[in-house]
Amino acid sequence: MTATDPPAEAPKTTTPSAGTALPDATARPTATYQAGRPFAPGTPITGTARLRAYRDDGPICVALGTLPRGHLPPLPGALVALAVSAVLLATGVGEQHSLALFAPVAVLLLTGLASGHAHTGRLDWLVPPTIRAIEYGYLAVLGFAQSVPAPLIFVLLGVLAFHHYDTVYRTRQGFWPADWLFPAGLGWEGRMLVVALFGLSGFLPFAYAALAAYLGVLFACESVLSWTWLVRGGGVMDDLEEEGT
Amino acid sequence: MTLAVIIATGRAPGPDPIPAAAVPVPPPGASGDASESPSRSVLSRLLGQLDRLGVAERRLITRPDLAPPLRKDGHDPVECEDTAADLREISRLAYGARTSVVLLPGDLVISDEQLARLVLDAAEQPATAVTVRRVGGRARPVRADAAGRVAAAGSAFHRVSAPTADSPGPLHIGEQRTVQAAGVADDLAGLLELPGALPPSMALPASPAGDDDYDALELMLVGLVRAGMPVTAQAAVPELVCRRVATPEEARAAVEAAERANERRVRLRAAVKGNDGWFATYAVSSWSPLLVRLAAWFGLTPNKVTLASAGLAALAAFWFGNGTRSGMVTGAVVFYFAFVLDCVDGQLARYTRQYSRLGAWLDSMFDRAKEYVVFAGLAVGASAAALGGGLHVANVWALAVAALILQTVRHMIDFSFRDRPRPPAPDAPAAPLTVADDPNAAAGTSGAASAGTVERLSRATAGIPAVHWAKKIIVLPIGERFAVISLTAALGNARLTFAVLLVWGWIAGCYSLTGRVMRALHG
Repeated sequence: MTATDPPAEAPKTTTPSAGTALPDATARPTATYQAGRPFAPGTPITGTARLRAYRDDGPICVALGTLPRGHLPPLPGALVALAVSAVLLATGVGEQHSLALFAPVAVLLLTGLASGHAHTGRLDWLVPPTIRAIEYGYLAVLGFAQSVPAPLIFVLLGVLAFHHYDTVYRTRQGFWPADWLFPAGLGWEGRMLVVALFGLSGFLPFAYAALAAYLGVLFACESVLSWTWLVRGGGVMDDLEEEGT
Repeated sequence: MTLAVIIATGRAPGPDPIPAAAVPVPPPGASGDASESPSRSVLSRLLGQLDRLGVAERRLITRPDLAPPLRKDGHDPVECEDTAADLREISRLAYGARTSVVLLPGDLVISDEQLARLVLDAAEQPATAVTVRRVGGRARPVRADAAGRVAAAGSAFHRVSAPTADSPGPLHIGEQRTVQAAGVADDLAGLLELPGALPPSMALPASPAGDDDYDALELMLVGLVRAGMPVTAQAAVPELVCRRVATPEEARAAVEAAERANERRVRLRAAVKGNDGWFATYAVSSWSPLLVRLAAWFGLTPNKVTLASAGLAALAAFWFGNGTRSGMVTGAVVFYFAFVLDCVDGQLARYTRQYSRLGAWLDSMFDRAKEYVVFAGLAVGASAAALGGGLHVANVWALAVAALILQTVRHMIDFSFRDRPRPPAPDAPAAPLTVADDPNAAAGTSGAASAGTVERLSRATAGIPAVHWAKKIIVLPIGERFAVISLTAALGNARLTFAVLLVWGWIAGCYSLTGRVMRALHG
């Protein structure tokens, strides 16, 4: 035991949260829109960076989201987009030039414009699961309707699920995926657009296989490499126990 | 990392100035022949425990006349004239600390497990105080509210109405709150230096402060609570020990009680998650602690158990992919054991306190992977069986894809709801330190009254076991999902498995989504 004086310096500042991985993550929360009873005026509402990461927006969506400067509430558009894509998928998805192939554009316009919003509304947490339902549902229904091999659809959705669970579980450990991962993964809108374009040209199974292979390698390698880097001590955190697995 | 500040100002009774911290205790394992073994003091026992918990940064505070015996034992204390000086020193140390700060009385006899809970498990909390059942002795009364927070704390001056427990003194102040705690300590010291500001009206007969009117730790707890800081009341496990001693007899009795307690059993009991689902609680955790002890004995890490569980799930998927009846039954049994190991890894991590961020991530990721790999196995098996004219007659890939989508979207609803934006819970309002009476005497139930309708209904029915389990089962938690997959696959076929998962999962999704939307709107 030692009685040497510890340095009595200036007060420490609280560590800022790691939630800076997304562009626009620091956008000013808009207090104009609140579903339900509004929070008391002036209450600081923080921590929506993770909610926005769960959206998994790609570059097109992010670019669209800068246009309304975060003033457009995200939930109404997302719910309308869910209904629209359901209707479009229901109106004959089998023919190659069906309306369903334009669903990604409609969904993108309805949800993408609000992607810059801070998601501070009381029900804005419904937006990421809604986007997931649209994306997964679209990929599944289109794939089955245009006779993409079923295991291929399952594998593509499994790869996407890996990425989306990985985003949640990694940020929960205070460990954010690299900034470039979300644009590199094309975002939900990018993946839907790719599939729709290939649907128009009739090479859908190829698109599913290529997407599954590219995204699978991308997401798995990024995740494994960054965990390896963190466990080997490259990370900024020092509280990780070495367990060697 | 943690800084431990040990306040050894308590005195052993007698004519000579002997710190209670220097009272000898029997060495570990010795019963009866204490005279033979090298002597050990209460303080060196405590320091040894801190060593084992990896707390290397320690400061010792004592009175000038108590310092020589401590120095003789090889300690290096800081001398403080009185309680105000103690508080000034605590303030200085907390202010300069870059870590969380644990405050301990030097004359404390505490079980290893109880100390580990305070030092390791409470590190992320704003502040934590150990509380014990009210049995009198060297402790001050506290009142804990329904949420497990200290609502009021007592000292020689400050009163507590309707106390629920006692605080023997140990405190853990989280890293984010050390500067605030330093301010509290300074305020308290200032009041003590002001004559008549804190008249010690009720010095108890067994005052923990010895010759002083106050003990720095009792004042710190009062100060933190009245400053509005959320202080968690960490109730000591009844069979463990956490008490202050002053005489060799007390010390011997306390150490013997600490050594008698079966800490392994306490730890094992605490390793089983309290809020698990019905299947996990009754069909797995009823016997999985055996496996936890076995795994700990073999020195397995939680991550190895996680990997073994994933391996079993892959094996189950392989058997399901076979498509024959024997394959389905084998797969179901193997899948059950995959779930057992899935529970064991978390329990082992809590039992051995081997937490890691990688471990938490691996566990969660593999949980999902296990389920979806088995979906694929079942779909492959159905196709294989259809080819061979076996059990199944159809292509169930569409059902497998639907089940995957439903489960993932349900999870995303859970995650997003959990991470929804909420204004941070404000600290309780501050109360003045110079008022002796309990400032929150009437405010004990205000928390329940302000809750929304859903929350109140939910709380009101939580006490009924049937309702409690029904609410757990309806949301189709992981244990129930694994059980459904195993049972329907073994007794029926893949089509039945997916049909049950889809119908039940859809009901579960609607049920929890409704509750969450209402909670978010009115909460």
